[in-house]
Amino acid sequence: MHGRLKVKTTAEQQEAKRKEREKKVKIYTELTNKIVQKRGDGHYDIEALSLTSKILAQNPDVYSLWNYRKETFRYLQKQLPTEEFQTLCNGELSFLESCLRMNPKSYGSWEHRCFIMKTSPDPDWKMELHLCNKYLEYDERNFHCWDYRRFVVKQSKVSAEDELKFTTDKISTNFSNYSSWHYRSKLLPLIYPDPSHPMGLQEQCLHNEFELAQNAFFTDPNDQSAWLYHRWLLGRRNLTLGIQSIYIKQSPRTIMVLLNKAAKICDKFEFSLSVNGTLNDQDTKWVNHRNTTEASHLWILKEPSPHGCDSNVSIEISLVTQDGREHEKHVCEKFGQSETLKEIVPVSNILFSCELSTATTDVLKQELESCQQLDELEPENKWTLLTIILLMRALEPVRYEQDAMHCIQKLIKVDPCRTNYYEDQRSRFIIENVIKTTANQQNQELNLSNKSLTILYHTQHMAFCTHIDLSHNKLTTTKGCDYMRCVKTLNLEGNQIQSLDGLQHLELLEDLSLKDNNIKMLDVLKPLKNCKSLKLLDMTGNSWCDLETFCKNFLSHCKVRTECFVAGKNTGH
Amino acid sequence: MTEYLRMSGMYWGLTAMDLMNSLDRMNKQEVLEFVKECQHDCGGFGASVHHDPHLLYTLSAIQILILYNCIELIDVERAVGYVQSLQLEDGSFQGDKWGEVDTRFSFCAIACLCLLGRLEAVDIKKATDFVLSCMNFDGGFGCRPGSESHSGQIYCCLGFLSLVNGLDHVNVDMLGWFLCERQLPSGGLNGRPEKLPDVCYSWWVLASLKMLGRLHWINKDKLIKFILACQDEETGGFADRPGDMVDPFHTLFGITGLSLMGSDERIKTVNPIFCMPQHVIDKLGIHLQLL
Repeated sequence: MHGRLKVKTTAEQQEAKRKEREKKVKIYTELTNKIVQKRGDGHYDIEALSLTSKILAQNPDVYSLWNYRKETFRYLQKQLPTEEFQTLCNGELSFLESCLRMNPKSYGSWEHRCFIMKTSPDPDWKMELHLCNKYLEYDERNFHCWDYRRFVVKQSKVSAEDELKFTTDKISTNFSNYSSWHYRSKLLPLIYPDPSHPMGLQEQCLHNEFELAQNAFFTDPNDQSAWLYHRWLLGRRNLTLGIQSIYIKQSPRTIMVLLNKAAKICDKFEFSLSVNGTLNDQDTKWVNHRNTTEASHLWILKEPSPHGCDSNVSIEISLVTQDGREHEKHVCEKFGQSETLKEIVPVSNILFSCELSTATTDVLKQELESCQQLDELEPENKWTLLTIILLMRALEPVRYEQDAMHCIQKLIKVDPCRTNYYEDQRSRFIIENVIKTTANQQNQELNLSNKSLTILYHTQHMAFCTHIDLSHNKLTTTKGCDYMRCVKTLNLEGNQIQSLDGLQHLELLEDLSLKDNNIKMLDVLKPLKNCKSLKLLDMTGNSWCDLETFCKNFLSHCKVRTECFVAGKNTGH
Repeated sequence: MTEYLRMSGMYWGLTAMDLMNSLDRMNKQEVLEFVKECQHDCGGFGASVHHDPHLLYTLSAIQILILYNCIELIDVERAVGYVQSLQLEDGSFQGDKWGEVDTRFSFCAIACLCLLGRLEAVDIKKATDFVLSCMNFDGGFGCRPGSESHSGQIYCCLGFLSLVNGLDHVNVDMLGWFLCERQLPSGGLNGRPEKLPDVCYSWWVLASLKMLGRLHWINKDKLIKFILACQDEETGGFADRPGDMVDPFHTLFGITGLSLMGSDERIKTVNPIFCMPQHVIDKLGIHLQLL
């Protein structure tokens, strides 16, 4: 079905082909009927193998026939003496090799080989490893073969170190090595684990991998596998679940807890709440930023207890993880204001790699220099540009901001196909830098206006902001705004917004500007029905009319500003 | 001689026809009789008559019946029991009693149960843990733990996670990037790095991006041009790439790719998880997660 060229033929040739096909179908049908009959009669013998092999040799995807062969092998295993059965298994392995030669990508063949190897009284795993080597020589990207290899390695307990060496050899001799790099990513954590390191790998191992990847892409800058692998090396594993900030408000009584990653309550963790030393075992119902219990960064508790948030009371919150262990405990006490925000972990530690060691910083700095040199030699290579940006983000995201922005512009020119991806990443970097440089205080005002933002990232870090300015960007939706649970003033003027999904959860929102956006239909405004605190709504500059009905019915408490242009008619209220 | 996938072949053809508003041109009676005949005592369906039961063809059979709104024609309880019986200790699913494990089968199992409204019949948590154990360094998914990322497997795993509300476990940016990098200068999409483009990836990759909320990371115009170039003017079908032989498999996925991009008013909206007409899925009230 794949890769078969269509060749035009004359009517004569077509007729000849049709006759030939008819003959093939006749033979196939007769054979099939015989097999079905035999299997139906419960005959598991050499003839069964002989008949089914005739079809399978041409078409190894007829899975029911492999099943009949398995049934036959199971039966014969009980009938034959071990030696004879072993010979039969060996014969089957040969037959399978002939099938694989014809079609090395048939699921049925590889799976049947696994079956035979598991059934065989004295399996020769070394031979199987040799077979894998051979087939990977033919096609280094044959994932069936790689998976079979992993099966063989597991059964015969080949060491991870040996397998790592195999991938090293493959990488040094071939191009198109993605499968080998992938396998490395699985083997390294087995050989060089280090749970204290952000990547979970020992630092020297990481440095070796940087060198290996560098050698590969400096030798051939178009070898995308090495660049892709390198990107992984710059990242880090999942964080352990923890609390980032705690926010307490007296009136209405609310506690909000911001986690360092999205998690689902009662599944991955629970909260334990104590007020003045007494455990609150009331039916405490924590909900997320969307008022459900699905995975989220932000968890909200309303009315925690009658005296829950009075200023002379101490509140203790613990995070209890799945295994029942109390993971961390935080106490907020004797706070004088009507609201308190306690930052447990600085936002920078969440957004960016933890402190890089001097050694790693040196390695990355040297890489950055080399990539910049390569970029001068090959300015059209997008991988170099992308890697330069990633290195800058890893080293000093704020210091290198302008350079990174400049690289993104170049990237868009060199790889216009992925413009939207690059613009979204630019938006992400800008937001990260702004969040990092803005101290985390309550009543925080966040200014992200005029930044050409195409998408919102990290909105969970905006959870405690009261004034957010996103005006004059390129946003098309309000996705992500559902995290802004403390926002009172939200400025979305001058974007391209067509959907307000996400705004329905903003209970404290009082002042919203949607001036000069792309809102065309009544339906779009539905989320605003739930914004109970909304007092001021600016809808000027949207090609909109018939706002009156909507406002009368759903926003009667709200003052709406608009100028409607309907075929030249100008109505303003 | 393609009997060994007949049930799936029929699903591909019938779905494509419905999306093109032409389902009435097919022989409904014949189809339904055939499907019914293929259900075994164990509840599973084979690819054709005299073919062994397997999850792949069980899903295709159920999809066909749902398309025709005739699910009551088969023994639903037994079908549920069959799917249930294929879950293993570690949460994975075998394709049939012979034991092949693959994340494709996790998707088939969960999709079957969702369409039958019986998701609770299996251990969802374990099934999810298994799928997540197949996640790789590039954010993608493979057949089994340790297997290389492949767009087809990615589609299956994301489809699974969408149906069990587990997309939050995915590294969206990393995987979205891996997927948008599948687009080649020809505009077509490949399945993994350094491979040739193929129209069927217009489905696997695109539907995956749709589930992740990153469909805009692909250049639509270039992809549309590529898909249309794969249509053979003589037969009307689509091939894997321009100039090759056409078949129903690639025809369906060419059409569904165009549907996802909303490029042609004549094609109905397709559901990105089930690869079935959206209007059919709407009637079932299934909960699915899209980022």
